[in-house]
Amino acid sequence: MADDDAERFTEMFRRCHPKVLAYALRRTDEARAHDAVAETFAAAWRHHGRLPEDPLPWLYRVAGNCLSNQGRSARRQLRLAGRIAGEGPVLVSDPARGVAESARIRAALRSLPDADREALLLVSWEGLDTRSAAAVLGCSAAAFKVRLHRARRKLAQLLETSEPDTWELETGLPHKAEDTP
Amino acid sequence: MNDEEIHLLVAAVNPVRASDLGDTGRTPQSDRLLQEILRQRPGRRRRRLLTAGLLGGALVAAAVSVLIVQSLPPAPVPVQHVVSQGQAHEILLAAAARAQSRTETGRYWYSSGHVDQLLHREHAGNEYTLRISTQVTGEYPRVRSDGYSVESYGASTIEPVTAADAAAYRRDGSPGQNENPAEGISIPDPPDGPELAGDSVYEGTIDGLPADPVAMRTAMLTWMRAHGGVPQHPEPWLFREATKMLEGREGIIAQPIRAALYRMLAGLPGVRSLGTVRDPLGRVSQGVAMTDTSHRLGTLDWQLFLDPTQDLMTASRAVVLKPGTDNSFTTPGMVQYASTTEHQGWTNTKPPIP
Repeated sequence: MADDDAERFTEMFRRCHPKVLAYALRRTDEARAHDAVAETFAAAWRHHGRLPEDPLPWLYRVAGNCLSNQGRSARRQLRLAGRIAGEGPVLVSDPARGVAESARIRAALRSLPDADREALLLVSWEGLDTRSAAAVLGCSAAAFKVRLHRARRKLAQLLETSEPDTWELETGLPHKAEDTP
Repeated sequence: MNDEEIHLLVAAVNPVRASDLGDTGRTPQSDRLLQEILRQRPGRRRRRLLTAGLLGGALVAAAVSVLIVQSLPPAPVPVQHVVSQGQAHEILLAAAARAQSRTETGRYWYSSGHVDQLLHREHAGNEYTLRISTQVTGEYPRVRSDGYSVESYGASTIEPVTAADAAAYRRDGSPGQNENPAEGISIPDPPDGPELAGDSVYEGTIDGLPADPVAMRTAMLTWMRAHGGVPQHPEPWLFREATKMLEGREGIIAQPIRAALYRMLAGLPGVRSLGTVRDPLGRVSQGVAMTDTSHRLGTLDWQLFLDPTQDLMTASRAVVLKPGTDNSFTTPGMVQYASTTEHQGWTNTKPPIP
């Protein structure tokens, strides 16, 4: 019985690991992504036997929670360090990290509310259908559709009204071109 | 721009293509991870605790009203056997009573002390272990209008642990602090105790926790369940988290909550008394401890030291009883981690930032 559990878990681990790692790498740096993947599969093993038939949405969800946890710790450190330096830095999520050639789309994505952006990314990057993506976000399929529709409309508006050089690349906050050093 | 075009645009800025990663589920690194995970039996700890709780007639934890709904039936928060007697129980209940009767008398809480951690280094054929001691100071305004809570790290000292370590360190040129680990000692930030054990850290509200100790325990574990999973060993995790909060490094905690934290510790199975002892700085204190075992850190004895006249903690530390994979360079009795508080108290004057 125990061997069967381990065998089934191993099969699931090998099948899902690339996707969960990709999910994490799209949202954070490499070291944190690997940490989140390790935490996620350790949690999956603890919950083995009660995982859904398709475990991927659950794995994404746990990985997302792990990343949020890491983000909170990092933000706390930055807040404290920034306070000492008198700067008060703001950490913003960076979902499209490393894609310099698409700065305008990245900036527009960053300016979306977190929940709306995540809805869009789960469909466009993770390739999930509505039901699975809703499971990742912990909402109903109907609520997810509303969120996705809102995200698409906001992104379209942002892209149609913005010029490439009017977006500050690191924070996604609009500013005047002459402010750029 | 239609929906399809939007998705194509977003897909075009996908920074990581799964196809570029290859089959990451079958690499030496992922195989090691898999083996490490499989060494832990699924759910065994949880089931044992549940059984013990039911046989002992333990209190069933109160339901918590706000949960993030998971996409699978949530794992139950393990039922706890509540300890109701013993020397450690009495020490912690006495601290709870002192916390209940103490009043907050200033605008700022301040604290200063040191956090010690071990660092093992292999460089140029030399291998040695160093104790890194970092000054940690904190100022915590009672009200938000008086500013942010600030914790800052000051200077660190580097000290070889044994004579053999000292000799190897000298052979290596007695390197000083350097951000580049190839050229000197890259000193990591002082860890919070719970982080050291590799657990996720409780990041939920503290002052919003229930003042009833059983409900508090349930609320903390329920928060964890929604943020990465219930810790593998809930009691040691609660012991470490409560210690961190009571040390004051999470900011000011209302006195009723401090009292409840002590009462929660008093009810945890596995907490034992060290009696009246001297803390790492030689001050008379009352000690309690709890042992925990993990693959990474082996068996550690997590100890906390209480001021016998107040509800304050003067120190906490983790002593190696049996090394694990990550600290195989240690020997039994070595202090893996220590946090000592030298000054703490209320003030009406904003403490200077070092």
